[in-house]
Amino acid sequence: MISPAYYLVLAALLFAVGLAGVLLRRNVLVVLMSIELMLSAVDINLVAFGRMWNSVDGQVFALFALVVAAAQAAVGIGIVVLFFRQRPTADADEMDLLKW
Amino acid sequence: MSAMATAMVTGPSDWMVVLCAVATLAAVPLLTLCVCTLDRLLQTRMRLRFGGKGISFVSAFAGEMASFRDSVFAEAAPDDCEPLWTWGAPFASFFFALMGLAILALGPLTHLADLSTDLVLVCAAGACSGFAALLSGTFEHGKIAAADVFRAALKFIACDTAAVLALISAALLAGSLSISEIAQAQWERGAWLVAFVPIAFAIYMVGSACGAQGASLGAFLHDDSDRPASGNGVRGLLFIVGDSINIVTIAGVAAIVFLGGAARPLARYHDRLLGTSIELFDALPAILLLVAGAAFLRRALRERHGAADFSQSVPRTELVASALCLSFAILDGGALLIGHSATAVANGVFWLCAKTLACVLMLLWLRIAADAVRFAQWMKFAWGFLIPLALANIAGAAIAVALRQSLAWSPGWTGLVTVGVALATALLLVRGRKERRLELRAARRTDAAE
Amino acid sequence: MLLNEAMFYLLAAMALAFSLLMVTRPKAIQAPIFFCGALLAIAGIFLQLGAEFLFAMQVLVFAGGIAIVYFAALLYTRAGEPKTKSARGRRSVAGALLAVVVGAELCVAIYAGRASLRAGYAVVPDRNMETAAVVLFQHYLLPLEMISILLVVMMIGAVIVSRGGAE
Repeated sequence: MISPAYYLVLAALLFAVGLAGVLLRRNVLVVLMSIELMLSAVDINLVAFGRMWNSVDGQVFALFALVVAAAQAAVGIGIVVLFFRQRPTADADEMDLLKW
Repeated sequence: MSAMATAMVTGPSDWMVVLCAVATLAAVPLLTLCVCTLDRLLQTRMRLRFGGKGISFVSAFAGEMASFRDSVFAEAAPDDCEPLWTWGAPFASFFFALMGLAILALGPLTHLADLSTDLVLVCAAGACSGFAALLSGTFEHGKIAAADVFRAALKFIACDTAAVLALISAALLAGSLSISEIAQAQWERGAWLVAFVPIAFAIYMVGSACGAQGASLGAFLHDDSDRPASGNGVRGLLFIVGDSINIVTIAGVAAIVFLGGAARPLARYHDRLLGTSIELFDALPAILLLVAGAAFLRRALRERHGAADFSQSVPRTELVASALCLSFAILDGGALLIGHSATAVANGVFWLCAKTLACVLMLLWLRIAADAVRFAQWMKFAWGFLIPLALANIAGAAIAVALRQSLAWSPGWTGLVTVGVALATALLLVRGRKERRLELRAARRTDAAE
Repeated sequence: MLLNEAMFYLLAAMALAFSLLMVTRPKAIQAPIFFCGALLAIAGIFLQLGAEFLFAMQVLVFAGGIAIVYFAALLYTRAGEPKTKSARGRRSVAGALLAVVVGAELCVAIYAGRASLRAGYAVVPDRNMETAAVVLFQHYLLPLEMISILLVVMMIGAVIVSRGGAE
């Protein structure tokens, strides 16, 4: 059978790719998508560890993380849309209304 | 995939799995053709009766074929859009529709995708397919139509939510999210789930029919002519195929989850009406098919002698249909008479197909009828009536399950509880709407008086 | 069990390829497709791990819901799309470097702790949805309620946030 290490490495790589997206991309929505990707990568870890100990607790935690990801998407997109009405841009660098 | 892998390695027979997969793929064009033809027939009838124009997506089918022949890959992509989306969305729509059909058709048969949650998966595949159709509608029609497409998407979401909620109450009563286990539970209980949650069945049919209508409306926005405004060639064809497969999948889910799947009516009742060993209900498929074949044959012969304005292909189609019906009836009846066990399989296939066909017809009719209702009315109906009713149905089903488990009530009484809760909610909702409408009318009258 | 491993490698390659495409392709409007592909591949990995319910939820929530919402938001904000796809100069180099370092660090940590990872999946938890449901509704009832309250708060918050500009 496949060792859990493979799943962990896959999750780590996906997490790193998501992090790169957060750090490099300028479109806020793509940044949000990258954050979702990182959350899903962590879900893989949870499920893999749960499988390793033959318990379903990992799945339950991953389900909670999924719900949080959905909530994050809804609120995040709401904020972006609201911001777009204030100032027509989706550029993360120009979202500096709170800067002083 | 672990279940898939074990089924591949230790499963009953690999060739059976492959055979079923090939059969499903081969059935796709046939199903598309059947659904489109039925849709066309129904639309003609409805138009003759009510006048006005329908969705007319099937009358475009011939045009689709022509343009498909004309320009297989040399079609002009709409400007101002991404090729990835214009090609990706139709393929996604087709792929997800195929996925739903595959899970529905292959899961119980071959244990290939024998998941404990395949009902959820079929719903997810249908939703993804509908959304993909809507997405590509956005790109096919450019920025002007985007608002219309999002409207169709809102309708799709509302109606599909109601349909899925209705399915949940059925799953709650059956105690499983696996389609084969739901069918098994109905067999063990000796009654179809539609007897316990008739309102959920109605909500499911109406909701999914309107969802499908929203999706096809988004994909094929029309100008005044009969042809769709765009969506030609391969992409349009992918939609039509995906749409038809979706209809078949929805009908199949309804037939299995609510109508007992391959079980015949009165599965627990054994009669000895036709002699010593043959039961009436076992002989019914053969008899019905015999009658249908005879009717087709008679019609074909009459058409040939009758009016000349019918195309020559009509009698030929009916001859083929009658030959199919008659041969199946003769094989089935023969097996029944000599007591061969093949008759059980054949009868199961017959009942499943008959139920699915009935559901397909109902869905198509609802879809055409749904075209007459305006968007705002739909939203009000879906959010204000269908979804609360579906939630009440879930509550009723939960109460019934609790009563059955803790107080050991019989299924009949618990079924009455479920139906009662749902009916009471429906009455409340309808009365509330009526009162609100009356209030509105009174307010308007006082306004007018002032 | 060769098929299982082949499936894992295929799904892992798909997930990585789609997520890399999502991060590197310049056009933001294409991102939801790659996002959807990556999340579907991750859903396949859940299935391979025996988490059937999570698989169905991932397909339903991400492919059926979230990707579409992102797509709609991207269409809406298309006018304000940044001119350049990514940060320029030293910042992009630093960002890429940081991502690589984090990935490498995680891999090193996994390598260092590989002794405590058990390789054996002694019992294949087949059709484990019932167990998951029991655990969810008995052991984790309070977190479940909290998460549903979070969802309600999220819905109300999203409505308030997105109509807030009217006042």
